[in-house]
Amino acid sequence: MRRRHLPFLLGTIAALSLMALAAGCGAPRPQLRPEGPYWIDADTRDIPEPAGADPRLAWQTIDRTVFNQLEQYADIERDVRIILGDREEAWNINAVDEVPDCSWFTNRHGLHRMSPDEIRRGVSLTGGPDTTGPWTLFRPKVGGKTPGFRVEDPRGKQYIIKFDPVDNPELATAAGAMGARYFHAAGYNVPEETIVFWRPEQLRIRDGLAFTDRSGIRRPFTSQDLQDILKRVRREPDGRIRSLASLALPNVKGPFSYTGTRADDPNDWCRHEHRRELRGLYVIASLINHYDLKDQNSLDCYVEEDGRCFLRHYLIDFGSTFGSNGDRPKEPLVGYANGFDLRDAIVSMVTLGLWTWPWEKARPYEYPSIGYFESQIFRPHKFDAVVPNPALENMTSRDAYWGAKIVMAFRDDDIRAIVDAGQYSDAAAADYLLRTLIERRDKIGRHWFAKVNPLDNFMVTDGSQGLLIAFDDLAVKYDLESSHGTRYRHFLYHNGKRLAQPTPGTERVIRVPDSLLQVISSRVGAAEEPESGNHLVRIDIQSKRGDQGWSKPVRLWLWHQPEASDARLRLVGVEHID
Amino acid sequence: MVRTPEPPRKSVGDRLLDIPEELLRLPIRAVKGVVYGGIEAANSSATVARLVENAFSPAPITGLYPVASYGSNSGLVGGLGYRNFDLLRDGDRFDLRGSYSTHQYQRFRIRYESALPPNDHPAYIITLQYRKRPWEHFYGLGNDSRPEDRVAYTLEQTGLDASVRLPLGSGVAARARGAITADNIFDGQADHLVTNLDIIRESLDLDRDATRSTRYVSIGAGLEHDWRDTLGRPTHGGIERIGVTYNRGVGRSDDLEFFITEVEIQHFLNVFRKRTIAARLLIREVDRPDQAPSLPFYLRSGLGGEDDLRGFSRSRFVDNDLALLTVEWRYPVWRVVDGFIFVDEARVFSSLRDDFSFRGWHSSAGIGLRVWSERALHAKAMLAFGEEEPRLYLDLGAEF
Repeated sequence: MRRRHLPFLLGTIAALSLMALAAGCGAPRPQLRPEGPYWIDADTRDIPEPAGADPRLAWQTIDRTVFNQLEQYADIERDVRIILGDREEAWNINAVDEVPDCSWFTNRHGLHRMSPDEIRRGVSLTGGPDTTGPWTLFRPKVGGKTPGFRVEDPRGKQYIIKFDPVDNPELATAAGAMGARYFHAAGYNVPEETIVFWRPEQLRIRDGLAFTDRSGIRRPFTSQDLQDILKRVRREPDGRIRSLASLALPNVKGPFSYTGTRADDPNDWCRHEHRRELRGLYVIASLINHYDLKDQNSLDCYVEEDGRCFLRHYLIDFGSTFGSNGDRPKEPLVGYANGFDLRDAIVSMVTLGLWTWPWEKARPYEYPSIGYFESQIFRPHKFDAVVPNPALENMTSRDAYWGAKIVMAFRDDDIRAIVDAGQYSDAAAADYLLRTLIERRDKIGRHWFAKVNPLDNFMVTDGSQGLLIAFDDLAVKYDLESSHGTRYRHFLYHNGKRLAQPTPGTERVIRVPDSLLQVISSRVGAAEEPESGNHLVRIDIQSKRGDQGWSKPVRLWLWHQPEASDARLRLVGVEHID
Repeated sequence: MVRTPEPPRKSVGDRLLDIPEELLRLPIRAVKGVVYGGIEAANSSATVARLVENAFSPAPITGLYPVASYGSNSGLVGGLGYRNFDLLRDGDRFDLRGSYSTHQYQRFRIRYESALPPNDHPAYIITLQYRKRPWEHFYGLGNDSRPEDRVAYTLEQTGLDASVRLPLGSGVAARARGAITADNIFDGQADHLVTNLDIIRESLDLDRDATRSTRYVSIGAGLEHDWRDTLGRPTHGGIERIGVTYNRGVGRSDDLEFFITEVEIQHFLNVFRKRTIAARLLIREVDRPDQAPSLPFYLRSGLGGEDDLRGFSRSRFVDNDLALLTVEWRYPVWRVVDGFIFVDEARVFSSLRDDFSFRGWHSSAGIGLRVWSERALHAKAMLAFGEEEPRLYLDLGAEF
């Protein structure tokens, strides 16, 4: 190409980018409806059975680390948005900035509080394998770093049995059990994970079981092979073996991808990198340092519910959460950078090692059962997954706020319930973990609640003297900010015209007097069509903490309904402006 | 309330934007397809998959592994190795490797080590090796040899080497060594250089003994004190070695007789958080009795190449003795990858004791990357700059 053509080409691309932005491409804005927001996405419709898929880990690592990054740079709209500070919002949120229940996510503890007992119980379909009878080993795992196998219990239920590293008792099994309960309570689909104690004598090898040994030779699996596996497994003083039993998921159709959609799933309407629940995983996973967020740690299962067959999407394998790295304790850098982080490596290379990373200051871990898990150098915005994850990379402040709300919903008792599920034999280790989680949680809340105005839980009531809109300031509610030093003000608009002057105050209640409601009624007019937007009233609420300036607003959309029995203005939309 | 979701419709702007985006993505997707195909092909073969695993696994894995390197003289080297641990006894290693390069360099080696360092038991090592180097360069004897005098020759070496390592405690070990070596020198194969040995002798004013083929046996002894914290990435400690080898010609070379004395000191100082200063001092003397004929140049001390004066080609400076001082600043780049910058100062002498001087030392400096595990250094890449052209070194499957 001649060099003089380059400015023309760049100019054309820039012009097209601006045209595209001006044309309003990108995320669809949730529709405001008089009935209020949608709370369920109908992505559980009956579909034909998809084929399975098993992408290679090596390829995915290279693809995500190199090619996906380059392709992202080639995404002009994304580049322009990043430069303008206007990243594309998630596609699947509803009008009140939440994720409707769907085949990926179910609103649980974040919106509807679960009791500590419910959190501790987690997914409980079978209660774990039956240890009163023999287990039949039907699929051994011979290669790899960690031993393991699949068994069938006396009831015919199948489980994947995983173990702790020999030098770190309870490390991986506790992490697996706690991680599953945490993600379940957060709203994700996870398999049933149970810590189980069993005796080697109860294990039987299925008749005719064959396997491929380390030399690549296929041969019968013998009791000697079983002994070789069990030699690598730690035993309790009474001879029992502590394991994590993961209930095998049915009808597995391969992992889901953190980008794109699945071509053979007609229900899969939203590109995965634009799913709020996958983007928000950044914040949710950071609490327990679940850095192993790769496609291979997910599964799509073709399930049948209420006569419909569809794909349900699971997160699996939480053995690399908290201080565990599955077969060993985590290194301090895990969770701070990708498995291979080109950017960080270049920084280290160019600065000749004079630049030091926070994790290099880490002290050795104290509890072998916990591994390396700390809160002092933890920075919520510095969390990183093992491979670049397109969904996590697309996270906006609103996605992060959504995730932080869920994290902060886990109060001390809830976290204690999760730690209890780890069944630690050392109370001091459990106390350390509890303390660390609480400190990490508060750091997460403090950081992400500062990115948007953390006002939430809006409640509209109609009173004799007007309308009351009560709300929570989550930073205050969770003791991250003082209520004394925080003031609020609001602006009320109709059809772009401000109808009242703001009066700052410390109350977390907005009053819309009758007189103002009458003005609005008169402006709306009885014959207006709902589509005109004339029925909508907008209220922007800002916060001010201490000497800081006024925050960005939380924008409420209220539908004017003078004849309604409950309230003359119904809350139909919430936007946390970032 | 239930929503029947639909993907967002593409606007006109979106569709317009797709065109340049797709154009930008085309080359990325082309490369992606090639890499994907390569990985699929590699994975479809269990042997290739195992080869790749063996190349990068820090664990001692029995099986095939790849050998690859790049050197300015040898060109691109590729080959295969096979190693077997615990073959005759626990902790031993049998290693077989062969490689061939774009400049027809050949190397075949069989090696057995009865115990791997660090180890407190006596260990013996037997090595049988054949090497052929058709593009070796020679610039004449002395510290002031000129680049424009460069000639090329072929050196073929065959040797059987046996050594015993006897630990004496606290990291100190005694070594004894015996070897028999046959070196053949032929005309070189570099088209653009003088390669005929007769012309080389004439142009560089060498006598016939300096360019003859040789057969000789070697007997040596040495002491070693190794107190490094790890082998692959030492951050403190060091290693000190002293060794003497007596070499005596056999057959047609029975008049050949020479001694090699070598002293090497390496020290590692952890400055902070695995940022390490590594220093190395090497002194080598090659002596012959007065009545013995002059030594072939390829048996004398050579400076240059990836192991010493890295900004120069291999054996760029050749004379009887040499002194080398190297300082490296090593620092973590990523997990098992360390970066380093280095400075080499070195000189050859006709006689280190009689002619030592602080003048005329050659310098080189450069940057590099090391891939390590606790047990070993696995790969190294370096870019070195000296007083002549820059030199690039790549070495995968570095010595354990």
